[in-house]
Amino acid sequence: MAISRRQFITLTGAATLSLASGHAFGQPSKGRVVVIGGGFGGATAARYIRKLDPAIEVTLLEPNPHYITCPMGNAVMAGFVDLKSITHGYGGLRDQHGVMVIHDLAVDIDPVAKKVRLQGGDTLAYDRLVVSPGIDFRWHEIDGYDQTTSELMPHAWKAGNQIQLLKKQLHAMPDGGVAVVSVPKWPFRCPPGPYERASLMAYYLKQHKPRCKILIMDSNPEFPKAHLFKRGWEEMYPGMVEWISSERGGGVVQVRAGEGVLINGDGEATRADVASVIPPQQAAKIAQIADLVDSSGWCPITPTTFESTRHADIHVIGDSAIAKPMPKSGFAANSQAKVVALAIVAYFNGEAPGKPSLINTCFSFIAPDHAVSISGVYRLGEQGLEGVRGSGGKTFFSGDVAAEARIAKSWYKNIIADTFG
Amino acid sequence: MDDLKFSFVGWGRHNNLSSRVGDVVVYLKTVRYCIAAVVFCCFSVGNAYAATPEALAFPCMACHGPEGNSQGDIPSLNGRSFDYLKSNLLAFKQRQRRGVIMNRIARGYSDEQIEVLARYFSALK
Repeated sequence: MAISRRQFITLTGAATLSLASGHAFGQPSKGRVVVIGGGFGGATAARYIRKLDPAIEVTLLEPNPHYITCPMGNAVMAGFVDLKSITHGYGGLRDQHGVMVIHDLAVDIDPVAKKVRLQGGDTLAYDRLVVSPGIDFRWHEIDGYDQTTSELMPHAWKAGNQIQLLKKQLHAMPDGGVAVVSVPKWPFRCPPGPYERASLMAYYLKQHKPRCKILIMDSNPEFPKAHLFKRGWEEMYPGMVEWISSERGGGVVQVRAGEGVLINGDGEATRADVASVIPPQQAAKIAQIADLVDSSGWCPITPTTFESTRHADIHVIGDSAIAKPMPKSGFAANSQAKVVALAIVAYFNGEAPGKPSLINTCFSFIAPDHAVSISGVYRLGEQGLEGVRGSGGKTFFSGDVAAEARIAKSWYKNIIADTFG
Repeated sequence: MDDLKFSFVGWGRHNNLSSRVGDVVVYLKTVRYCIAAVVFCCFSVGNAYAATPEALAFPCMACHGPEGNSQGDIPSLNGRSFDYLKSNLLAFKQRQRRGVIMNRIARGYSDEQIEVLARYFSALK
């Protein structure tokens, strides 16, 4: 097995740590867990398994040396948060928690031999596998929209370069221009995200180019927290934001990216100076390759432990998993990871998994000091995961949106510490 | 349910006082039975859903920070007394305390689960 210099350092670091944590050299561990994906789901799972039982070996596979979060990505676009503060490393997981971090891409899973093959050529054996790889785009489902044209019409739905690109385009936009946010059909990552994006485009444009307009071209007939968003738009950005539902021809089916043109199902063209086209999505490639998806393109799981219903000893969490009624969010992935960590630790200690209990809250900024949210508390019901009756819901119309904005900023710091710390 | 329907139908049909008193008794008995049933259901659901203290507490840390130690506006939970945590969670649940997010969250837990959570976080340093 070829070990790169970086991997060698990581491996040595992990060995030193297991000694420091009272792990006798040579003593077999209780089991080996491999985690695919270092986002909110994967990083939380790795951290919590090690926290609960340091006798379990955990290897985290993540191709990127840093993780740039999608939450706060729109705030970076609007200029009130910098990219650095939403970029997080894996030093905490490696040094504080003894997670072996390998920066490589999982390219195949053998669910029978229980091995993961890496792009770099290595193979890793596991007793339990956690798959949390996020989303991939269904390129070409919007005619003319692919990886190349996404440079002209940024999706910015995987943060990083794409967010920077969208920010640059907004800065270069002429006053009086039109910005479009194109929304795919459900389900997709971060259901209220496109409307937050439109809101924060308006926040930026109102200050710098107040004659601009923002059109939301939506493939759906409704959207989450709509009354709260619409109230915010009317109060803060009157006349600037228009939402076009699928029923009014909002769904984009084709783009001519070079000309800045978006075309709906009736063949009507809309010209945009800036277009953020969020394409239709599915579970990330590794989930497709490893046969963890059903015909929907997403991964079915059993909600007690988030184990795949298609292959044994593999848990799927985060955006890839079908975890209705939970949305595809970083918060949901973090909560699901804890269910999986508890289940895996129970398994290696010869215990039955307990009952799952989960929370989600999706915060959306309409301005830096104005945020709204939707929450849910979830548990196992007779039909699978269900929201606990009477719990959850949206910000009240009379709610304190300034306090929500402060809480959303506090939440971000805390979930980052809870995931990567 | 039949009892209840009977008592409502009977309400308007009898005019003399004694039968009205009888209706009131039937009605009150029914109401009492219904309340008892609802209380029993809530209680048994709370008890039947025996998630471990960790399973209940871990999701809270996404907002309140690892080990309940928060940065920023969200309050820390670690080191707070059992009574403080329990009474505040119950107040949020019963809408006696106005929260920004917590009213919506606290209603997702039975009173027993709230005690478990209060005990868990009060034990963290």
